[in-house]
Amino acid sequence: MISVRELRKSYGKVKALDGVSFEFSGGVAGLIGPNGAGKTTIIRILTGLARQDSGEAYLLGKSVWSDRGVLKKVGVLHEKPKPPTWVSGKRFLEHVCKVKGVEDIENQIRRVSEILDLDYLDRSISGYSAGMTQRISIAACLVGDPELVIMDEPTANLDPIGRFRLLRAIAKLKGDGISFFISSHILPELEKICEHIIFLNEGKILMKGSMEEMRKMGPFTLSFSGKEAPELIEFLKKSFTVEVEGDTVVVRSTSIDSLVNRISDYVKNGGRIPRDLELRPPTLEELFLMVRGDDR
Amino acid sequence: MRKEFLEEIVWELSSVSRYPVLEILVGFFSFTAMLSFMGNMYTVESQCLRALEGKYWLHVELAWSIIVPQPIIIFLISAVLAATLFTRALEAGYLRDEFSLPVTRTSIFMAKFLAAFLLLFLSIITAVVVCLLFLDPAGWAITVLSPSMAKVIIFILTEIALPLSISTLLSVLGKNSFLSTISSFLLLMGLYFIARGTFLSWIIMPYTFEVITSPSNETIKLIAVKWGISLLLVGVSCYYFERRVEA
Repeated sequence: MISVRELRKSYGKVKALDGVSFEFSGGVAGLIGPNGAGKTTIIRILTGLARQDSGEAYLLGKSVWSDRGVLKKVGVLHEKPKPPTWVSGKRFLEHVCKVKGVEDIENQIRRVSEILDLDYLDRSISGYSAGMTQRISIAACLVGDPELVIMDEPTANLDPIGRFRLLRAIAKLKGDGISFFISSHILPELEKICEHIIFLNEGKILMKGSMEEMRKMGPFTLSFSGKEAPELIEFLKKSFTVEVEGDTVVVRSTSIDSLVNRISDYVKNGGRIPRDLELRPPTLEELFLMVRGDDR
Repeated sequence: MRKEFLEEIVWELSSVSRYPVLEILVGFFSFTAMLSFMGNMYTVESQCLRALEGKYWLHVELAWSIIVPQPIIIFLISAVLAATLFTRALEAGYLRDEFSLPVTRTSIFMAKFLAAFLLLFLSIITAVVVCLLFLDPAGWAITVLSPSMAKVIIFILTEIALPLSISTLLSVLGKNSFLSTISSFLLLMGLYFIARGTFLSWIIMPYTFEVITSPSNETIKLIAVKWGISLLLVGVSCYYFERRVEA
């Protein structure tokens, strides 16, 4: 779906991308990084808005610079989209459909309207709120049965219901065979839908792989209420660094086995398991902080 | 690809027609064309003078039409249309999203330019046809269908092409729509006034009825030169638009 090799791009003296390479073969991928990491630059190069200094970038096996037709099968949502304000939402979607060579325009518009709950298509875009504008732009990148959808900060400007609907729509469309490449720094949202992750920082890839593989790397978190088992805190302190956050005791380790073994030892020694004991894999945020070296 | 390109032109026309440009232009050109027909000529500035000779009351009433002759309006509208379609689209971010659709930048450029060209042409030709209807209702159909009308169309197209191509180049190069509009307009006005009475006077063609209906070789050569310059400017603008990567 996406192939990027040794991509380099500088803006003056600032290196936006410094030899980025990755392959995305389908599903839902998240491009994660702080502001200025180079996420938007990758998307701009992939979609033909910016030209790389060196390296290669392909969408569906083709470069947009040599074959614009490839964009008929790719939906693109840029950060802070600006749909035309002089037409209605419906006319805008019709325009995108026509330019993409879509035949059944009415059906396509009806389909995306239902998915994104767009009940304001007949109104002029000039009167849309920020959230409505975001949703119509998302709709524009979903018309025409794309094989791949590239989104830069798709949940920006959306209220909680809008975010929920979008994430639900992505999950549904993924089931229909559409792949998504999403850039965001709102990690809890990406966590719900992404199968592949690319961590980017200062123009370089810190880590990439499947979500499942990454979660196995830890750090794993053991938490429980300190009031319920003060003796467990002392027991764990012998092997781990124990943090107390309010009433909650938190223990982090990159090895799930050592955590489980320690708890087993505690039980064997007659210890009582607290009712709220929880052992969970890392969140995307924790993973990112870990690979950046910002974890505690 | 042809269907997609046609849609681009229709889209750009809808973009510029969000302003009541067409209505204002048809109204204005109808008015000035009326004056020109009074002088049995096709351009306004000179026809107005001719039309007003010996008609002092009309001179007083319509003096502004001499101060604001038709070329100035074409310059102004050219500057506004080009800045709206190119610089403003870039400023507002519309161009960024347009560039991510499966159309070439050349197609987007040509669609924008043709939309502006069509809008200007349609407004002027509509005004001429409306005036013919008012001035000569009985012979209207014959005049509209006469070979002279084809020549009139060629003259109108020539007079639109040059200012619009100059404005387009400045708008494609510009980053601020207001500055693009002002600089295009001032440049066109400057060229126009410099040309008057100098070796550049060929820029302002004396469009008398005789010149239009029976153009001399000299006139045809001037039209060809104007088209050559216009096409060159359009080509340069398109080249730069295509290479304007960072939208």
